[in-house]
Amino acid sequence: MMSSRPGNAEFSPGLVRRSASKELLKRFPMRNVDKLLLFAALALGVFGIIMIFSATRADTPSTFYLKRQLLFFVLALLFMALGAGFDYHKTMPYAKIIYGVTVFLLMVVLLFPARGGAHRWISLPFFDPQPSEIAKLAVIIMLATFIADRRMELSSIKDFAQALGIALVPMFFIFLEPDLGMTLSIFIIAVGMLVVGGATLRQMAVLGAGSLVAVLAALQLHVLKSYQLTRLMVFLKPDMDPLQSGYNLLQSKIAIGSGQLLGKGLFQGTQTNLKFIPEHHTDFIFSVIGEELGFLGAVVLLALFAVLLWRAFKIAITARDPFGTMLAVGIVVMFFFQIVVNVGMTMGIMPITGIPLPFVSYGGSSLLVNFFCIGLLLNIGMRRFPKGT
Amino acid sequence: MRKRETSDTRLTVVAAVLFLGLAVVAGKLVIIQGLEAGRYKKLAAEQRDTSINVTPRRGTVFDREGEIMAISEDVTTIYATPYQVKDKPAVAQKVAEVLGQDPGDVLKKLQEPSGFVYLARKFDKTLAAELEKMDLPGIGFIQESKRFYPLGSLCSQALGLVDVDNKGQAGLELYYEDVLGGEPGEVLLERDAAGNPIPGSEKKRKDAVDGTDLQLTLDKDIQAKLEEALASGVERYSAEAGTALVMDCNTGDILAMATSPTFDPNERSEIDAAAMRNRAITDVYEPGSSLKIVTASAALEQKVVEPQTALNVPSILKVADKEFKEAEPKPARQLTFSQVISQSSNVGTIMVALQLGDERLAQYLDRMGLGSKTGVDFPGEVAGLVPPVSTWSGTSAATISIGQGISVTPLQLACVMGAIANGGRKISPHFLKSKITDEGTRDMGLGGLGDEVLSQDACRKMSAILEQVVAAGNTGSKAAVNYYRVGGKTGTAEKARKGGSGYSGTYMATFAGFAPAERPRLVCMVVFDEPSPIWGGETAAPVFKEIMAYSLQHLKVPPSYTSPEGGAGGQD
Repeated sequence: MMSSRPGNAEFSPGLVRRSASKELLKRFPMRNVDKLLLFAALALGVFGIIMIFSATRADTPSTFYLKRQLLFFVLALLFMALGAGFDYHKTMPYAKIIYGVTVFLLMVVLLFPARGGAHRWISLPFFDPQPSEIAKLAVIIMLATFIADRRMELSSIKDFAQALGIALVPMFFIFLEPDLGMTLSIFIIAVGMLVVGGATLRQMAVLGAGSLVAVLAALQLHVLKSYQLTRLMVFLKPDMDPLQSGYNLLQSKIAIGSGQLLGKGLFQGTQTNLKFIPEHHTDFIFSVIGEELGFLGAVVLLALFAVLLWRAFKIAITARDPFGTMLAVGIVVMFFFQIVVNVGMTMGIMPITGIPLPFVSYGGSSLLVNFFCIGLLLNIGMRRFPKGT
Repeated sequence: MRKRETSDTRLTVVAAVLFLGLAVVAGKLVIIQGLEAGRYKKLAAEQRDTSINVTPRRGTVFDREGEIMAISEDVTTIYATPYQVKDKPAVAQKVAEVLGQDPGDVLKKLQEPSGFVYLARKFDKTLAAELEKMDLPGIGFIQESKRFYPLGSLCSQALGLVDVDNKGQAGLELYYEDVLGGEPGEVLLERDAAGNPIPGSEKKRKDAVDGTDLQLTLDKDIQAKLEEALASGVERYSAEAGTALVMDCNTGDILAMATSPTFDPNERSEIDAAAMRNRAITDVYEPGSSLKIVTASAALEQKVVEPQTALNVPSILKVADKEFKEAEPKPARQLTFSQVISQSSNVGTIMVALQLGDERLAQYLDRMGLGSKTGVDFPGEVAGLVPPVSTWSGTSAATISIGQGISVTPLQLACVMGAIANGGRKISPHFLKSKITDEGTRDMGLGGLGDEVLSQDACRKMSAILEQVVAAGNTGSKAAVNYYRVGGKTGTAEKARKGGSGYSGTYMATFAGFAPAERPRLVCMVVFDEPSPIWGGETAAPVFKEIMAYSLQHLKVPPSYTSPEGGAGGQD
């Protein structure tokens, strides 16, 4: 692998030490920033802002969501800079603290009053953060640190169990909120990281069997809320109740389908503007895109995601060390899961869960975390070369 | 490096799995937006769009003098969008006050779980404007038009009326629906997820095209006189009903037509369906003696007889084992053919008809238009019934020649009379005079004189005979009009029993005539259903006289005589 990275020596910051400022510049190897990844992320963010405006234009005041998302976007860019602006290795010693605080926040959020039947938000004056969004990142950092510490060897049962435990604790609290989508999201992130992190086939098989038993037990013991069950049922048979639970899905499909090749035009979506699509600026933003911009718009969106994911994978593969690789893998699996589940949900190939579309859906927590993750990816990508001596 | 490579392999596997997921999503997108797009597009339109028709302004109907007979007024329909009405009891109170409805009823409507409910349809425009000024949220207004007939019941059967949706329902309103109705416009309304119309989403898809104004041949003054005379006749003679019409025998212009009793199209709820029938066109009857004008015309043209031909008329005539007598028993006598008609001798007429023969009689019935529609521009015209000559029995010529076993409409008979009057030309009766568009008045050129159905010579002779009918001492003497020479024929026919053969003992009385005889202008026809006395000469004739006298004067037709009873100044 090393041989596939020619000419790394001349970029090694260790070779030239002239002044503190110059050295700082070398430590921020800006020319190594993955410009495609950056472009894709920014393009998706702007895409999202436009579509959110289109979806909420009819609300009063018409620019309420637009203004907020613009503000979040600016903040998100700062978060991205933050994510890229320090050597990512420095997070390793703080991993346990970050993880611990996050788990604490996940417990705290349960004490806040429920909104829409779920305790997901910590109420603050301007902004209500969602600890579960942070939890995904905390799990990724904690797992990456754990796996990197073991040099990507999880073959011992103890190590595997501990790694799994890192994911299960926050999953438990998020499940209590309840937020099934987020719980699953962390689970999938963990699975992806465990696979790359060296878990054996047998361990994964046991995990698979265990999960199945857990799901069956959950169904048997009625752990799932009835709406969660209904959503699953509707996923299996969407037309069974078009005016109730299947309604969202049907309306979403109608929106996307009626967009056809070129869409009805920006701001022209009838399904969107007439509020047939529920949660059109958050979870169902893809339906708005499908309706107003058609197949072409949807493909452009998916292409941007594909570019973003491809570059993220590249970064995971070319990362300098196991921690970078694992961090990148965690992030890329997180994005993937959200994209596939969210877009799949609007078209009926995934159950309806409250998972937003990364970079595009309205929502501060998600946008800040996602751009922070992009920052981390850029960080890993531009520090892929060894420091030299 | 081995470890590095394993992790790379694992990464590749994970990447492959994840990109596969993305590919599945993209594939589903192709299905929904490509393969099944049409279905979803249809579903979207179905649940979203609703369209409302915009009624165009219906054309105004004028009489021949420009008097308005039917016009559409602007009215306001008031509706509510219940969910938008905030303080329902208060709004109900205000609305009820203006509409003159019960506040409880209005409140009930406002509480309906629907996005649209009518509060009042076609409501007075100025009162609705008062309500509109209150600016109540959730209360909406639609400008519509309502048909109004300024002349009330006058000419109601001919004009007909429109239904609630302003569509022609009967009469000329129905016949000229395409012209008067215009083309409705369409407004597309979008509905939100709850099914409620979206305020401001109205998209005009199609402008309404207003209807065309029509001018009719009808004359409101003659019509008024006709209806008045007819109504008083019905009362005077205790008739079930009466029908009359006045027509220009040179053009086919129908100047007046009515059936009594009549109805007021402005009071829709009180209309008796039977009164809506325009019986001069839509109902047939056995004309009786008045049909002798066809027999006589045919015999004269075919030179079977001349007006002066003397006939030995027996008291009883046996035709194919059936005995024919006069309406009132008469001894055997000698009559000229002219007298046969003016005294309405059944036996004399039958004798001539037998000489004429089946074929020729049938041929003239057909030429005069009996048994076929006149083609008048009115819905529901009937053709009447003339038995085909091939089915005639030995007595058919005898019965038909005196107007029995044959059925005609009053308008058909008027056309026969008109043809005799105008010199033998077929008449195309009609109501429409012209269309009035933005470019001006366009005469529709209906009517005019058609093919020759009778020679001028025969007509002249007939005309003289028919003048004799009205002469003193003859059957139609009560139809005589001061200052004018009048020709005509009476008819009294026993009505066929309903739902069976034979006769009922009740009668239809007819008088059909024209004037002035020297230069005929008008045909008038009066029929009474079950009058008492039964005789056409006693009932229909005097009403004819009343109508004809007025019509001639109203149209300023030059008098035939300088003295009321004639004698001096006759022009021919």
